[in-house]
Amino acid sequence: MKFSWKWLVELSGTDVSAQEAAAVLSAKACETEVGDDGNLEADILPNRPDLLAHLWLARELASLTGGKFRGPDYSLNTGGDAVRVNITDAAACPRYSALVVRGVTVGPSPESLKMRLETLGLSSVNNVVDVMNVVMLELGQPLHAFDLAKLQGGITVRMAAKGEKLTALDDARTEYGLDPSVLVIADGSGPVAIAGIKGGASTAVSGGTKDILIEAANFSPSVVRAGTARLNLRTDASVRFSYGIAPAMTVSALARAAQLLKDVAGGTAESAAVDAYPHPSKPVTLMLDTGYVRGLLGADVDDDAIARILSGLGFTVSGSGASMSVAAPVWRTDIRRQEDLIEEVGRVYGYENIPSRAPVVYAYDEWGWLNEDEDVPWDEYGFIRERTVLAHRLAGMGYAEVYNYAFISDELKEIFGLTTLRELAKPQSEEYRYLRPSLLPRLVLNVRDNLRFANVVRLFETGHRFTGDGRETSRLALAVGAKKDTGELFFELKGAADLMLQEMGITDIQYDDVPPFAFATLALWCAPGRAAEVKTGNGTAVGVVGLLHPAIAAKLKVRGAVAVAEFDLRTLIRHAQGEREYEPLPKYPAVERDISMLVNDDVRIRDILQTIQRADASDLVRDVDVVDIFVPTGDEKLAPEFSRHEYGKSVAVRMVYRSDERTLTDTEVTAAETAIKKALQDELGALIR
Amino acid sequence: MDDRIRRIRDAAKKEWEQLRDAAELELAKVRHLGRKSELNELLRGLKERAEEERREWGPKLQNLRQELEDGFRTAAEKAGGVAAKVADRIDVTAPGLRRDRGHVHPLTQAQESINAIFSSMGFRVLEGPEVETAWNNFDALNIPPDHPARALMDTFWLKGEDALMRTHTSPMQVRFMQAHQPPFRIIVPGRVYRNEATDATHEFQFHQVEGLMVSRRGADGVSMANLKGILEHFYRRYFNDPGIVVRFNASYFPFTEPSVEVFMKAARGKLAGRWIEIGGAGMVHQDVFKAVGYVPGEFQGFAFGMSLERPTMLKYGIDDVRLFHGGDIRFLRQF
Repeated sequence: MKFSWKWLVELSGTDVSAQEAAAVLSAKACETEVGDDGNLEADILPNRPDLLAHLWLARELASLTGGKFRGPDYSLNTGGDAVRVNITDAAACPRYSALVVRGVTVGPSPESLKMRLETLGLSSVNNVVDVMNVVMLELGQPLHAFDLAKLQGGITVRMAAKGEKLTALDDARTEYGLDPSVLVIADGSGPVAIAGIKGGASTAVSGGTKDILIEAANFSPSVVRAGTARLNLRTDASVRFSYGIAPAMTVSALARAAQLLKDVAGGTAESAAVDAYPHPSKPVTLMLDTGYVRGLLGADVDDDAIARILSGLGFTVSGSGASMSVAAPVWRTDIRRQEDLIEEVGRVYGYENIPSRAPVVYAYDEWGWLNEDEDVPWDEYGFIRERTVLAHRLAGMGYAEVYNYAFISDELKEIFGLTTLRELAKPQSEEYRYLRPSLLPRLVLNVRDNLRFANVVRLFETGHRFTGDGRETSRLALAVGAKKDTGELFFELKGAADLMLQEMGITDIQYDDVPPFAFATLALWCAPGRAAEVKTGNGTAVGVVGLLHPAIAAKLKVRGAVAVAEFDLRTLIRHAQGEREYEPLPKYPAVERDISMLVNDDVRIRDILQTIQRADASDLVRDVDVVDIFVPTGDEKLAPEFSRHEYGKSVAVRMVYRSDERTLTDTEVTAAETAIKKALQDELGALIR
Repeated sequence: MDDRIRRIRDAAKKEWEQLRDAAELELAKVRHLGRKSELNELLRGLKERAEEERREWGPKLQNLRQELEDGFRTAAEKAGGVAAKVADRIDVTAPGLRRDRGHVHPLTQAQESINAIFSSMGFRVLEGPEVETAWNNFDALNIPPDHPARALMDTFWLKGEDALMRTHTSPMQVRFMQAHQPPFRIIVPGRVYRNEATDATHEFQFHQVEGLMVSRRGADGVSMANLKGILEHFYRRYFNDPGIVVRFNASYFPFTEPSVEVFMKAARGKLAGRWIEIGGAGMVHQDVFKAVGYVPGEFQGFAFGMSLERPTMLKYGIDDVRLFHGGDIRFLRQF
């Protein structure tokens, strides 16, 4: 809100500059800046509606800078009965005060009044309306003037009936359709104003107006907010009521208005205001433990200083020590508990005077850690650290980490064939409508987009994914894209996955053909027969590695080949934590021998490895490495070794034989090797070369 | 010919007598004895000469070569090293073999150092769910349905569910306190969502780090002075600047009382000398303690929240927050 610096100086008696005032207010009350015209722009905090008024900001400023605040010199009796006021819901309208002023002369305002309004961005209407506005700016209490002659009967404050209408007092004479969510001021003829938001045209003050009724009411913030939202209409008054202003304000605002009207429009105010105030609010008095003040702030502010600060802000203080009694001023509706008082003390004492101090701590949680297996809905540091280490490992392998938005579009949902997704009620844009059930759709887009800048793109992401059953889990997704398909992409990604898992200490990983209904729906995104399910030793599926389905790639206009993988991060990391065991170093030398064979196309590497394992009766094989796989293409198939037989490919494995008890003899190794070769021939029909 | 021999000898001798550097000597040796040297040309030209000449000049030239080799060798030994043969030298300015480098996202890196610093101060690091209940995100934090702050948060609600994308990391305060009794100290880094228009400084998805430290109420209880101390220590470590100071300005949050805005001022580097707003903080509101089932008045402590993006942008001079979620390799490559 904008504040006139001149006016603030008048009211506060401060002798600091506008810049100094802004700095002090920013530190201790609300963020304040000095505008180009030398006036203040203050960002009033939600708990300080009182400061939306020059008078109370001036009071704050006076107490913060040592100025001599000149309080109100006007007052007014209540108990008048010029109009009958009926409040149907005291929660929606806690107080309705009104004052009749007779014999005013409506006309232009004096220049000084016009100037004051215009400085603050309001245009002058006439002397009566201008007084209403200037009192609002001064005291924070919105006022409304009705032409008394145009009011029919008494005033009723009630919710509007369905179908009621009101023509607003604005230049366009906008007609608002009302309903029971909107609070109105009604006379015998119907609504004459939208409570706390806008006056009506039918009862407006005009050139011929002689007698007026000034309304100073208090409306519930939530009711005014609801009305503002319903009618899409915000006004200076509605902003103030939405903050929630003190009901105590009404009568002094009427008194101030009467005082000003007498000067600028003549007229005689009735001696007493009408005041409907069903449940008068009582001043709040709190017991303040000054030891708690020092303990919570961590500052050595003594009892005298505490009392002085609070009195300076208008609080009434009595007693001291653990039983200081503090009564809040009527305009401070935000003061409800001790901590509210401590905040007052803290900010005025000066947060800059609070020292930086190390806390007195326990070296560890008294209550210990939760059991790792307990199914808590959060992740602990162990998991977070592992994930970070993983990120560095993947970066070491040439993968770049991306962060994506957690939402996907209808189009991605369609292309990836996703169903039962959770959805935002009001998405930011169509691009971000559904909660991602997997990290891959967006990661594939990242690959596509980055292939414009690079021939090969390697990316990964970790993050939450959300499924239709309401669950949220951590995932790790990887993708490799290449402009030119070398045919090696699957193995490149599998190799990276292998290395990553090994570094995590997971060694019991198997890759299997993807069964139907595998690791979520992921496998469906891969080309048929070109995806593997990744399983741990006990058969738990932890992820999928595969080549992106060409149909998906085509729809997304990916220029190149893409391999993708996704893992359940929590399962992976938990599994890794239980792994890794020391193996004694070998005492005896190992013997390496290669076996080279031709096998049919349908013989898989795993068949060969398992056959070798089974045939190793003497348990001498320590390791088997596949060193070469050659699948002939085109003319190569015509070479004698392939054309003569059914054989589809040649495979070479390097065998490592070793015993933990003795140095192996040549005879022993040969015997073991012979048995293995025989098994390969018998069981797999291999031709040993 | 004798003249040429003398000239060659003199020139070479001059060099091995004057040069003190092994590498330079080696180069000089190549000039005088190498393939393109005058001496070598004479030797090569010898076979086209007449027999007599060959017999006369051959031994002389060979002697000269021997003399030069000895001279340079002795000089090189004196120079204190055996110079590398030029043929074995590596052009150290040629590029190394290219390895594809990967990249850890700048926000992961920031997160990592923040976690490490707080962890070293004994804070537990936790991450919570991103889809939350309205109760955890609002009600328990003293933001009832009617509260204006609720409307200000621009919440993404989920369609057909009583759930939302958390608007801050504070709901983890609620989850954690429901399961634990003080004393404790935790930080909660994580992703949060606000349904607002994006520009260079606004995102609808960003990250926060929440801090919460609670003790029993008392003179030694966790205080605002501790909040200042912890944050100051953190920023000093994070920006590697022991001169950093922290300032609080009065503010308002429904879940803290008193509430403050946190500013820091660096002593060196590109951020030096100006106050930078860095987060919100305050002393945990007793209504929050009440909501999680604590007896009001028994405990006291602080909570703070800061954006992860902001200090990262300050640290690297990044001018557009949207780059973090853009997935552009040209951006990521720089980290």
